[in-house]
Amino acid sequence: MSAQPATATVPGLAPPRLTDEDRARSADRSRVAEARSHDRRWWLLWLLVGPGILAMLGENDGPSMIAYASDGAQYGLGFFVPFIPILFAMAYVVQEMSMRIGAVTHRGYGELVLHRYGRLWGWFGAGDLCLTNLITLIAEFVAIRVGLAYFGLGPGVAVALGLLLVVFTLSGGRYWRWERTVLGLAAFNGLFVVAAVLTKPHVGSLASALSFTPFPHGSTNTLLLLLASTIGATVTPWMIFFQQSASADKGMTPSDVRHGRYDTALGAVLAMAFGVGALIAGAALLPHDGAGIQGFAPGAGFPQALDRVAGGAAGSIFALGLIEAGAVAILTISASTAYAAGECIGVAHSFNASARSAALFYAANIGVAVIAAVVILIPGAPLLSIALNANVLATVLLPVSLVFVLMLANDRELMGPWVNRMSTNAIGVGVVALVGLAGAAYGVYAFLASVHLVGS
Amino acid sequence: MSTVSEHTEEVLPIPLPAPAPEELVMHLERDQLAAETLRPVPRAHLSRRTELALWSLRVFAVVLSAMVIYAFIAELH
Repeated sequence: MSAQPATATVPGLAPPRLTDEDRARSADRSRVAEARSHDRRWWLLWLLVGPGILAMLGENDGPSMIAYASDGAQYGLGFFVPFIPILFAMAYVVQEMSMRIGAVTHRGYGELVLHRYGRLWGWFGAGDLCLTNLITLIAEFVAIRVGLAYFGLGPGVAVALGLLLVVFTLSGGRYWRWERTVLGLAAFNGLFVVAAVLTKPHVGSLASALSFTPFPHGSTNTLLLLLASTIGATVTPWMIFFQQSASADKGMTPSDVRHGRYDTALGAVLAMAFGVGALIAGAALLPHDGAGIQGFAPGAGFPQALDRVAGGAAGSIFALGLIEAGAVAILTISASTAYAAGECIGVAHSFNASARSAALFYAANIGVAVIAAVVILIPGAPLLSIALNANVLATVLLPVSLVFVLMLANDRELMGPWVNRMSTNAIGVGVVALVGLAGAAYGVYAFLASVHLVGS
Repeated sequence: MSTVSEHTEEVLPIPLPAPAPEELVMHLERDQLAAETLRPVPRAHLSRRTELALWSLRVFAVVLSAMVIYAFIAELH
């Protein structure tokens, strides 16, 4: 398959010292070069998709799918059917910038912020990421536990499954193998659409929901939490770290930006469809005290409720979907943590590098998953509250990451002709404003409610 | 494992966005090589206004995070 490598030296520069990481990435790039030279368009697309789909479907994780199902169970389809696509359009704009920066600079987000704007900002960003990633990973293990509980399996199985997957996917020593394995798993995110179909939704109510009505009702705190957690279910700091680093690790170059956009757009469309699937499945519970369902409670969550209302098949499929959503997110979020650790400390950070030459990258990848797994085994740990607040914390910390993405994407010294267009900047600023306002409104209101200065 | 600190003295030019085909090394652009990606990119000059805006944003995020975490802990009790 691979074409003969073209080796040349650049006048004035010393001959390059090649590592195993370079050879692995070169092998992947040779297939891209061959597909491009033979004008094999679909094969080229297949070779270049990955980071975008994984970032988007990785964010369709356990807490997000529970959030969408909760939205449906409490408020029905109105408002959310058009709102979720808008959020994924926002996610596309942010992720396209991340992909483009990674393809043009061949650097991850963490290292670019650290080098370009100073250690302080780099470490702040990495600190935010580690905090939100750890909390989100705990929520992923909780989601797997909820799914497995439907089949009568305990938290120990959830921990073993999650950790085995992390170790298994890391064992190949190749980015390509890791990416394709996780993509294969992520395809099962479509189970949420199957669950939605099994609930036999009314097509007319789906169409009428496109008018943004009825608007969700409830207390101000509840509505702000709803808004913040739904935004946090769609755009998060780890996605930015992940897609930029994965695009660089995959070996993407400026000539691949067009296919990177296809990849990101395809990921956004799939994630939106699967997210709406979870919403529709949850909406089947609206007439059956859906608001009272604790989505993360093992033995009392959405799979059991769907089982009672729509039959065992719907419950089983939803439970399997939760297991998949949690598992894929554990892999992508652990990877984003490992990329950030390697980039900020300045050591090798690639799936193409061996465990020996990128020890910190591999250790961070497994270590963060192990810490999260240990937490869910602690008796009495407030797992439900952690899981419910994971998306909100991501929303609160997101504006900082978004601003740095915008700065990098407008850095002409780095990006050359690949800097943002005016329209992308206008949308980007709008996204920062919306996310910042939603996070601030919820944070301030929740704080005032907790000190009894306003009603909760 | 080589670290960034080992390369702090030799800051190379920022990678060019669109290298010519003859610069390929084993199908990789030179700045894609592992050794090259460990070199730091030059520091950007930020105006005082930009620095101030970034610090404001950082304070905003820290204060808001503290509020959310306080509310979360209060809810537990």
